[in-house]
Amino acid sequence: MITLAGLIAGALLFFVSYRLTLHRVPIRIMDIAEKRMLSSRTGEANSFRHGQPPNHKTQQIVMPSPDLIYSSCVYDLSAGDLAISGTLPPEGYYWSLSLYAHNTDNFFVLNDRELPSRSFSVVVRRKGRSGAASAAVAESPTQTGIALIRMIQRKPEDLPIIRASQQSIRCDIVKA
Amino acid sequence: MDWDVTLALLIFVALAAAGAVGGVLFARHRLRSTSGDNPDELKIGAWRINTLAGSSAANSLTRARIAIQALLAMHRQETIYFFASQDDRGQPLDPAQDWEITGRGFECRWWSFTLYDQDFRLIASPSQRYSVHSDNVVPEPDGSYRIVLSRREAGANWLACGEAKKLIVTLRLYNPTQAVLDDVASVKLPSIRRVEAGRVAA
Repeated sequence: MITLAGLIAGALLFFVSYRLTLHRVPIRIMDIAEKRMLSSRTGEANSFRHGQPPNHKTQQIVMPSPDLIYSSCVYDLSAGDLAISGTLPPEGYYWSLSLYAHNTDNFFVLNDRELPSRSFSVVVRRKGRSGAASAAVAESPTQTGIALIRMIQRKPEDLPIIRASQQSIRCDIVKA
Repeated sequence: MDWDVTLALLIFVALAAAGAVGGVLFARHRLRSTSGDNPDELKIGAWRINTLAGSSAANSLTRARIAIQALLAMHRQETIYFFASQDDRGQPLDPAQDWEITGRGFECRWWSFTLYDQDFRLIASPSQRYSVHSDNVVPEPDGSYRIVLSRREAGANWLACGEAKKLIVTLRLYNPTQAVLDDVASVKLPSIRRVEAGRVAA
């Protein structure tokens, strides 16, 4: 009898620990990624850091695209919404803003072809929070996450154009 | 305490603990596996694709695998990612051998092939080229392309294997057309074949 009870408990715990492991892995990896990004910008959330063209020495995450230059921001919506705005590079350069929840889900993407002009403005808001907004609202399922701007670099001479776009990025908390 | 009761409790705890540890080990095994055991994944020739990478609709196995292998991947409306670690015949891409990827372009805004090592890191390249993409590829006379993976310099479309122990090729299709999104399995993916020594150069 006790053996049967043990087998049932073992089967239940097998299932629970299997599911829990799969559930925790992406959250744990995002914890590490966010901490690493924050440590490289002296612990400051809600501000963008502009990366170098990825190569075997500069890559920060697994499988970066070597054709893209990344600007990244760890966001924290505990104090309010996050307003992100800026200017895009000239037409013909791929540009996108992606938002990732703390479980790694890519819940929002906006690219240059979806914008009517060469500028953008997005408000990141915790899901369930209400309020007026002067720009498109992206609802984050989690309080923290990562915002990533990708810009294509076709040749080394493109870098000043990309840097100019990166320098235009503004990122401000709008108090609730 | 009665010896029988103690023994029974020990058996119960041992079985329960074995279940808990087994669940963790099985999860770790599935995270490393590439055996096509995930309903979110498709295998097309040498290539694998996870159709729900980055999506909120992904299952927990997909989410965990993508976190390990391709953290911050975009969902497929923006970019489709194909991965290959074997050739057309199912042989692992051994970096000590030479390989060629041959095919034609794709229905998307921009495509790119990138080579990574066993840790999903870019591989040091003497040419400073880490990808062959739709802008820098040098086509064959018939408009197709031939990309060579080799430790030795191998022409215009060369991707260096460096000191990698294993190779993973990633094909990215940025802003795929609606036809591709509607039927990802219909994408004509390139062949990957081993090249005999001495026949690398285009």
